[in-house]
Amino acid sequence: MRHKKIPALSTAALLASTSVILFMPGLAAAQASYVCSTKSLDRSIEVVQPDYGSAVCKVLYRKPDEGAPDQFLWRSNQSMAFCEEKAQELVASLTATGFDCTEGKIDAVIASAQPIQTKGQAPAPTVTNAALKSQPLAQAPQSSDKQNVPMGGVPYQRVANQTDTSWHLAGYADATFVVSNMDGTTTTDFSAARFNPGFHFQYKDLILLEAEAEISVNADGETDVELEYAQADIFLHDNATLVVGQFLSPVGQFQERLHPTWINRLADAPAGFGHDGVQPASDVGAMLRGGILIGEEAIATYAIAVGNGPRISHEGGVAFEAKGGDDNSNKAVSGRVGFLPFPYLEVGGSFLFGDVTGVEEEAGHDADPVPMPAPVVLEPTDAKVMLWGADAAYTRGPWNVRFEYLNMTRDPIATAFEGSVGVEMLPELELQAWYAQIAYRLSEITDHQILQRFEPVVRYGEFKVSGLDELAEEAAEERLDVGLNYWIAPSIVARGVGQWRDFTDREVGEPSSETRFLLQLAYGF
Amino acid sequence: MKKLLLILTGSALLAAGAVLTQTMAQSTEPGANKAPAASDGGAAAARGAKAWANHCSRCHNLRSPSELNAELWDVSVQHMRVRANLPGSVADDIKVFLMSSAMAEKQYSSAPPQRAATASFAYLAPGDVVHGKEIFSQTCIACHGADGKGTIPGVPDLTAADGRLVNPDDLLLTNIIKGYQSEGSLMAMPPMGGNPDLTEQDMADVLAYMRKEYGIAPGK
Ligand code: HEC
Ligand code: HEC
Repeated sequence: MRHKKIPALSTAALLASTSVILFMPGLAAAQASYVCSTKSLDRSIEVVQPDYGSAVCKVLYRKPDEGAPDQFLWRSNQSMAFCEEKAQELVASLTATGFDCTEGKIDAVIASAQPIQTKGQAPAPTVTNAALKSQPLAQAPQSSDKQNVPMGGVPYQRVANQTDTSWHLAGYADATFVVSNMDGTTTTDFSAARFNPGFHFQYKDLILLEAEAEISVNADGETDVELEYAQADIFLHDNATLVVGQFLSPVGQFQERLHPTWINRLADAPAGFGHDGVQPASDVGAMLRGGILIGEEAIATYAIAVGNGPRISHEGGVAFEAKGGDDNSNKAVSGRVGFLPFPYLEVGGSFLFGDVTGVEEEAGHDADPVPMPAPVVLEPTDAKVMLWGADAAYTRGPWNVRFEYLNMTRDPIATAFEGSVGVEMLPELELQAWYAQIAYRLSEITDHQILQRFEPVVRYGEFKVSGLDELAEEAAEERLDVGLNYWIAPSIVARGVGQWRDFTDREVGEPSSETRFLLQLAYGF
Repeated sequence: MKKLLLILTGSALLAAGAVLTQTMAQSTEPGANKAPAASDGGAAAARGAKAWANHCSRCHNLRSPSELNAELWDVSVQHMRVRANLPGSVADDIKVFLMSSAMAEKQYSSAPPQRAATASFAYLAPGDVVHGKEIFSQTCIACHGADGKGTIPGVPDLTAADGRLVNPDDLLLTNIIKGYQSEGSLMAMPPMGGNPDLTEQDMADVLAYMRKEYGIAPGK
């Protein structure tokens, strides 16, 4: 995890003045203050009056010479006298152990044995001392290691001294080893080593820029780089964020929320939910989204997007991956509404309406000689695409239970496609995919260092295709996955998965089932 | 099926409309753009700890509060607010919790090891069980659960007769006051449960409460 501060010198002065007022857990001047010393060290006991919160006073105990952080020992919501009394008791007990106590203060920036190391980061907000507080932060001593931090940091406000822009490098990487048995032939493969760096830039609490790339090596040893998403999130309101750019589709759950391998409980996407499936992957456009708190903990969520939408795929199916340009002037509208009666239970419904436009010639194959002139000359047409889906997730304690269903229809269309002779008519296409998945984390039943890290998981799903034989042959399947995760850390996992696939629309004579064993290491950072 | 689609779009649009009008109404209120006042750090951290345990485990495992520093949590929670469609107020509470946990953590872990690992807390008053229960059910419950058995991978069962509570008070207090993560542990115990408003005395109170509730006295 790395991050870097972007200097914003011009705003430093402004920040300094506003941060004192707005961003600091201000504590008013000490009401009573004692310094207790021995030959070599000073401690201070101060009764302070917090600027916020319900307490009328707190007793602050500081041991700057001993490398100990500051502590609030007592507080009272009613009486200043309580804090004063406690402070005096502490003074008495220190005196009894050989300290020499007087009323007064130790300098806030007194040499401290405690360097506050925040790795090139500005010191944590600090300063309980009136003397320092009146001093503009910008002029606070550069040797930040001389400051003390009151116990407990700050309630959230942007960190004082934090620049307006922060950034964060995140993402994930994985490597997968696959043993496959198809029709008696066994193959082994290191497949799909991937590295997906993500970048997040935040400007105050107004805008977040996020982008993620996928870098992988394909079968020919070439490196593929793909842009997964690149979007600006503009925080309009407590319940509304405007997203513009290329974003992951909000339709369903898997693509937007679960596809990173450190999140996914199994080694790959459910049938129909990966590339060339029915679940939309990404789109280019604008999206409004957010959540609304209902009562104590129920939340209603929404996401509605307008984008370029799907286009016709090479095989004549529907491709749901973002493209810079549109194939027609009709935008697609898609979205999802979700409801969480409790934080651990979510049900949702998704939809997408759009158009795809037929093509004259299948891209990439236009160099092929056309053997014969097409008997009937057809013009490419547009066709409506409609998709709906339902999903549910139950994620309480050790349980992680998920279900998703998606259904898409594309009206009949005249288009060219892989293997077509010019433009041909394709009938209505219907795609359906669903899966159900259950995982259980053993930490619920044991605190054993090793055993608690295991999580067995089972998933069953189907992908059905009707109206496009080529796609059906290739992709229609029923799939059972049984896996075991071993969580090395909350975002690092080693897993083994057995996978049984039945291809339901293979031609007679073609292998119609495959058994695979996948070993995967996934790392989210 | 068409009807269902219509209902879905309809409700999404309605929600969007409601939100937009609210946005507009809000932004015309005087002072609507002021930064939120840091008014209730303690309560927000307690709410935040619960919201963190509840919401941040919905898609992926909870990541330890010790994993990022305060500034990175700021960015990351903002990122997750969008992904998870969290209301801003909920995300802000979670930030209070994570940022105060991370900040306090940094501050402690950087202290040079010049003192014995276990501090002495003899100067604290004997724990007040009633007050301790209150603290437990506001803050500690998020990870340790109402029954103390732990709700998150990596959180130990505090009720086990041979569990953590057999350790002496001073050691336990040192750990919960300064925060710690034992070797190879999946999750950190944040200093004072990540609540910046709690005091050392509060910790002595909760400890007394836990000892009484689970009936575990310090071992020999
Ligand atoms: C709706 C599902 C969902 C919820 C709820 C959720 N996350 Fe995430 N989280 C994700 C996804 C998806 C990623 C991966 C993002 C990527 O790689 O594009 C992620 C990534 C992260 C990361 C890695 C760094 C980053 O920002 O990408 C951290 C840390 C994190 N989440 C913390 C949290 C916290 C804290 C919460 C609670 C506020 C939370 N998550 C709630 C889905 C979720
Ligand atoms: C963020 C979740 C979280 C919160 C909130 C939290 N704890 Fe913990 N606690 C942990 C974890 C994780 C451990 C175990 C850490 C380890 O062993 O690495 C732990 C350990 C402990 C222990 C055992 C200490 C030892 O020495 O082994 C005690 C006692 C404890 N917590 C008390 C509390 C109290 C009291 C509060 C409320 C003020 C609290 N915890 C809040 C996560 C939490």
